[in-house]
Amino acid sequence: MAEHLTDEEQLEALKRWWKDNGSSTIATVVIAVAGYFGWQYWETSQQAQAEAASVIYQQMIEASQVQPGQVISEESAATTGHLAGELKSNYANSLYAQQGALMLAKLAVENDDLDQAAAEIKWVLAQNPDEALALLAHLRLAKIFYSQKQYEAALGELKIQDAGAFTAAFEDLKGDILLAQGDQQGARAAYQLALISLLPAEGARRALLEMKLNDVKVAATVPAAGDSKE
Amino acid sequence: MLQSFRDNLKGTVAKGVIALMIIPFAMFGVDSLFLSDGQGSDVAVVEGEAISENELAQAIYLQKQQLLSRFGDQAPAEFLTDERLRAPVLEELIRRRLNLRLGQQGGMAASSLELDQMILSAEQFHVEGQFNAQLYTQTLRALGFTPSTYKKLLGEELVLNQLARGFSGTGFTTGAELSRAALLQAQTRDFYYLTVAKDAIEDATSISDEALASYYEANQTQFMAPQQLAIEYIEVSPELLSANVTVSEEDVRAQYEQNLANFEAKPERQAAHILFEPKDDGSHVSAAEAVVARLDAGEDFAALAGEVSSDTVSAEQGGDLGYTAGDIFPAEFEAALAELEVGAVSAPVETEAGLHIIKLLALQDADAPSFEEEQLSIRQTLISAAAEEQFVEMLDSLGDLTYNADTLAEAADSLDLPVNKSALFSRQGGDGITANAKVLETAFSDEVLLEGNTSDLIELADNLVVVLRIIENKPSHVKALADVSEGIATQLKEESIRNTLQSQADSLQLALEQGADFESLAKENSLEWQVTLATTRSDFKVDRTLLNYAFDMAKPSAEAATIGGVFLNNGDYALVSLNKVHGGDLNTMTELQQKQISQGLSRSAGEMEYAVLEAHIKNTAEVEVY
Repeated sequence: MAEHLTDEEQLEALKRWWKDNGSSTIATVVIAVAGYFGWQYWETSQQAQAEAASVIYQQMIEASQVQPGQVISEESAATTGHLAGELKSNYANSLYAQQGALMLAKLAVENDDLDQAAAEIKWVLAQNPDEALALLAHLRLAKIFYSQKQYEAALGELKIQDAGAFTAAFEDLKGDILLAQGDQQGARAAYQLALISLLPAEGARRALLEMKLNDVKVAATVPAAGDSKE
Repeated sequence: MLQSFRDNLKGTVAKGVIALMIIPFAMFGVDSLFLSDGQGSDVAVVEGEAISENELAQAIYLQKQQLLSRFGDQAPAEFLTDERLRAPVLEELIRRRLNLRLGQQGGMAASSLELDQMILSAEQFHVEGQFNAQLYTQTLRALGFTPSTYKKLLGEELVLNQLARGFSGTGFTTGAELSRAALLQAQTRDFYYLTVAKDAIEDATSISDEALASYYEANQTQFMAPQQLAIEYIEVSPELLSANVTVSEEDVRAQYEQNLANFEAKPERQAAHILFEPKDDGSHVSAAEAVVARLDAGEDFAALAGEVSSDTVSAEQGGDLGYTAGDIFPAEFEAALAELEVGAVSAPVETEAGLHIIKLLALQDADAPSFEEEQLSIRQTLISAAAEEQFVEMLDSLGDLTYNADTLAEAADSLDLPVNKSALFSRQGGDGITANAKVLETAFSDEVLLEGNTSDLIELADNLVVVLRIIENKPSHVKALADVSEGIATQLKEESIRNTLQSQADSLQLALEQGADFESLAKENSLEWQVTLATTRSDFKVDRTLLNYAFDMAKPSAEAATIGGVFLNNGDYALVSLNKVHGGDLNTMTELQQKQISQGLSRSAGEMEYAVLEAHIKNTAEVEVY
């Protein structure tokens, strides 16, 4: 089409287009540029936040480091706790903060302060964590409730339709809770399910799990001497 | 339109439009207009992010380098092939991607400062305890990295490590769990056991010929011998052919003369230097000039090197750097060295390392090797070259001669090669050449086995070719009774002994269950009996099988012991009466012991929980591998 117009006419057409759309074009460009720089600024400050949290987290990990067979010193525990608290209060949206809370829960358990430990893990769950992390948190919370003899609450944490890869860990603990409640049969079923759901990476769990299962065996299911022929 | 647009480029409007187009270029670079789909193809897509073939190739390469540096030459070559490493390395890349995703979405990142510190303190980049930038870039380049890609990888590594430790390092064990573990692990058991020995029964047991024969008749399928073949084959390789190749003395000498003509004498020079490392203020130049003046004044080179050289290692040897054939030092250095007379010292020479004052300590002319030294290897080379040539010619004629041939003898005769015969072998393979998978596949192929044809030429390895045909086909058949009767007799005898033991033990068990006293029952039947109290899970005084069985038995009730029995490894039968189970008690341990055990359990709980978390992420992620 354009070929039929003279240069004058083209210029005229462009000018007309500019008159109609010029201001909105400029506005769009301004918004785009501002948005771009805004985004850049936001990203840079996000990155700076993340890096600052990373440094604190790294210090926390190093403070919590204990040689195998050794027990954490009071001083290191205090430092670890302080740094974890800083992560939680200043970088609450970050995964660093959630891991900091998990660390605080561990320290609280080691200090026999199970209520505090439970509170920390509930905080993690309140941050709406990733599904896998949530399963881990439910498991740890259930362990604390179990130790506090709050068996129903503990079972409540484990009441999840499909625990996926966590099945063995969930069922193992469920067996302990049911047994504590006096439900031998339930415990046996849970231990059995745990044993068949065990992942290769959970090999270290097997020996104790087998002992637990053996512990709830009843005489009737014991192979009579004749059954062990093989 | 575009043409007229260009014609109008001078107009203000067009300029405005051009200006608009420039913005994306300026901000995102020209690349932004060409959506790159990466180099080469993708191997997997992890949650919408692709892993490219290049990335995988580099990871495989890195893995290979790591294995090599860990195991050195002991790493078997077949473990280091790309095909072997590909699947596990890709698996690892996917795992990394998924974990990184979790970390990065959660706002985890490595700080640039932290990374710099890690790089500066890494010992593999240190020379004499100091970070060396040259070594750093060299090492990186050798591994296929640039400083920025390396730093990115290191940052990812840090995040992954932080992620792992945030989960595995936060595992804990509650008091209830600890007590429960102690209760079970430190459990002890009281039990009686008596042994029904197989020896007494063994002598009294014999297997009749009828029993043997009827077992043989009833279980024919157990005694099937597989189909077996024997082949004849001709084998050719340059190595085999070289036995018949002769090379005359003249040929060897001619080759030697030729080698001699091509021999380039490369003199070796022993160099020494005094180094002045470059200084920003240029003071190294004047320092070098001062040393030149002192040398001219007759001072000893070696002493001066020891005094002023920045190359502290060679300085201790009077600047001596050892011999070079012209390819060890930088080009400028070698050029200056080559022009020196023995004992002479050069003017300062500049290389990347700084300024060198070079001295030629000694010059050695390399001698041409003598005929005696060389003749053996020349002869070898000539023989293998001739054999190689024969081999290639022979392949053609061997193929032609054996094609559709009814026997290999003719081909073998005309090529003056031997025909070999194998022993019988089954599909599982035999000895020598019949262990080779390709030979087996060919021998049992329809073409060769069913139609009785001579095979095509088969290349078993580089430069080893075989042609074969079947000379004997022994179909699958039942082995003769005489060949298997010994095995059957042993088996039947063992079964019979077990049955006798079992039935004796069963009646003893029944008596015990009906309340008979363990001790008097054993005495009545003149059997050996034992009692073991407070036995731990690791008690080494009790037979392992028996101990495991005793700990596998259900707990006895207050009224009645649990009775059971098990065959021991030596064939005897043990009858066990489990009387009491004592739970382990945490309180028998000191507080420190308890804490240490708890620490160990917490560690392993954390590690397992993290492994499970990883598995869960992997199972629920969208991963597509092409």
